[in-house]
Amino acid sequence: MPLLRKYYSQLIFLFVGILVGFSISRLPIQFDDKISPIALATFFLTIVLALYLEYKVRPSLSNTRNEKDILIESISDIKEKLNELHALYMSVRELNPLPEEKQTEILTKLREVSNLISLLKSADKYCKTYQRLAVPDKIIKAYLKYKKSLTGNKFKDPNFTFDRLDWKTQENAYRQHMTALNESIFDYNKAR
Amino acid sequence: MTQVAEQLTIRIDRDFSQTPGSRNKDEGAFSGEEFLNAILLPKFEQAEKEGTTLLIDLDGVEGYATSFLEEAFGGLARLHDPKRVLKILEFKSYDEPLLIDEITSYINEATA
Repeated sequence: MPLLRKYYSQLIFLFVGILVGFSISRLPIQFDDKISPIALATFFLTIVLALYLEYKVRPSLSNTRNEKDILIESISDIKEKLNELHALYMSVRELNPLPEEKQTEILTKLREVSNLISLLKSADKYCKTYQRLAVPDKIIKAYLKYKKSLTGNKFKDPNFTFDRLDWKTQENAYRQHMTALNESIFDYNKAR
Repeated sequence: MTQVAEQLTIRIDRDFSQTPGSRNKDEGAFSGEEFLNAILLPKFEQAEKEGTTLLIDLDGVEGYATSFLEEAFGGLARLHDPKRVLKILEFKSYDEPLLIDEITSYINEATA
């Protein structure tokens, strides 16, 4: 009984096969006795191709898609955190001087963005089914540029204030960082 | 039999400050310049003399401004050969792993 339960689907197929074979032999159909080698080769090639597609190509494509989704999701998290950081910067950039706790808050947000990029870098390293890209490097470069534009002058000075003349540079650095992130989504999507 | 020299360590939160500041001394307390002259440079030269490495533990602080990192590590690379600096210094940063890439870039670009 346990054997029957284990192989019941195979047994059903066997039974159905016998029935179909028996029924076909009863039908008034004439089969050609000669077997064409080309037709036989085509038959076997089709089976081999079907097996290859099912067990090799499909899982590989599916893995690659899953990996891309993980990486793209990581980039979305970075974008969200970067937006929070930039919103904070926008809300405090006119303060003169910028209180030290706000400076620390900005540094904390920068650290959060940085850590998300670091996670992306690790994920990228472990996703190996698609071709290698320099996506994390591009994002890190943009992040460092943005960080430098925000804190690079006299950050953490008690009298620090965001110089109005630097606002444009900071805005540009933010936009470039966002562009790098958006482009990276397309890069991952296009990757083979 | 001679023993291999023990690795030297700087824990920034313990040996310097949990709130590292700006670039220069005149911009406030715990600046990159102060860290370089008071702690990093003497320890680096000691490590070089003893033929060992110097581990910089970056964890446990509120956060680092670019100016602090550039002045401290870029400053060290302006005083010593950047390749030698990178050979002797080792970094630990569980709080923010990307800091290591950032510092490495300042060391490499210090004399550029």
